[in-house]
Amino acid sequence: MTWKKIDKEKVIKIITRDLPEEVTKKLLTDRELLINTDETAKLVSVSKEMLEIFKKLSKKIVQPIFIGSPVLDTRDLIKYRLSLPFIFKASTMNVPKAIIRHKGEQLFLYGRDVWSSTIKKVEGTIKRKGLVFLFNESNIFLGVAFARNEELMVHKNETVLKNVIDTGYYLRCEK
Amino acid sequence: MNSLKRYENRIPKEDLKGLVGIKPYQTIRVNTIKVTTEELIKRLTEKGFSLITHPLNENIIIINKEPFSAGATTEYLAGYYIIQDAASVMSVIELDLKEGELVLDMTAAPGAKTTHISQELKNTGVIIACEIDKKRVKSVMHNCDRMGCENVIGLRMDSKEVSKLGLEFDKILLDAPCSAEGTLHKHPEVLTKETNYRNIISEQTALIEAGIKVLKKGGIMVYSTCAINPDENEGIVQHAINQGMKLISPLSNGGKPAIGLPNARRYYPHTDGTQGFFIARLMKK
Repeated sequence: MTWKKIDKEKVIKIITRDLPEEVTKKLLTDRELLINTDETAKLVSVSKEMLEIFKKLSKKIVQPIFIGSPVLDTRDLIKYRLSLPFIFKASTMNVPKAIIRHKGEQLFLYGRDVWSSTIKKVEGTIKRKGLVFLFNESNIFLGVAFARNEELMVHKNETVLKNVIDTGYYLRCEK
Repeated sequence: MNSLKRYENRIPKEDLKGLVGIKPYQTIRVNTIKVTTEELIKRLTEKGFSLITHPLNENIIIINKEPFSAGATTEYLAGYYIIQDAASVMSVIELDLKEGELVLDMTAAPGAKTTHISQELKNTGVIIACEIDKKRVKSVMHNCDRMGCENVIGLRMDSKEVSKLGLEFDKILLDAPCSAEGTLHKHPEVLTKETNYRNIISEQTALIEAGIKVLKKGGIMVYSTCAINPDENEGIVQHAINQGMKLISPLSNGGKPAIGLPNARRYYPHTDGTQGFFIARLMKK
């Protein structure tokens, strides 16, 4: 298991496919990036203090199982998924949002897609195939989904948001 | 059958009675990285939970009534809290953490105390979280992710070898593996299963010695267990004192003075509404 430092600008450019550049830049301010392409397959952000400790550990040939805050689940930066902790932080910023009703929330937290009828409100500009941040009616962040269309609250009852990752994952990974 | 009988001459009767007869409060610890206690109480109350804050600490909430499991709310998934016994929360409080410190958590899984250390450090400094079991390191990782902890380095290693890291720590938490007799409300089998106390005590001794070696001068180590056995608690602390550590006063008023070591504390269901627990605060001279 080996972690390597990776260029931040390169990563910001890649993430721009899914998140506005200013959001990513803000979230990674004062953070350095490390990537692990082995079993863990994660790209993480660390503080400068953590990086110093990491360097000391590396000299002792000790490699962490995990470190810092996950940004991407990826092996190669070609295929990647934004990590839950990273999108949780991004959810507090200026990003497209959908508020979904209780029934939609329950299904979404089981990894299911979102039906148009369960969407209560949409905020921000939705792009086709763009990421949408989902919240319940109490404004708790639930996860992210890809928009199938620009219009989410259509009259026809169909799935309009495709689940990418939801916080129910934390329960599923406990099993 | 009743292994507690072996302590009748060493532990006051009312404490043994309390362990068997009284159920501790079910408690959660608020993750102040993500939410305030007031907001969380408001949110969960709206869902039908009946809650009050614990007298030991304002970030511990007692669940008096739950309409469904506290581990199945969206607030839980969002990392607003963790289900944790109040005494176990106090072991981290006793570290008296300051922003920017380098902290060692010697036996980190499943991560309740690691995430609490992160919270007390306000996500600054660095925590080295050691766990020998690979699967259990992952549980620490998932809890850190859920709770938004960004300052943790998780290592799969035997903490007895921690000096190999070449680091010196400001604070160390050693929540030692133990006979767990203080948790018999949850695990009644601890009364009937075969326990090799000699092995446990030898592991605890080796761990505390390893911790002392990597603690900075003037640094604080908190030693805790959920055991009630004086040999696993007061005995190990006495060993640390013999190694040059100083047992210092606890910060909290919780618990009752330990046996023969009034500065260390024993927590019980009948005194604090917690599981049976032991906490000692030691300083390296």
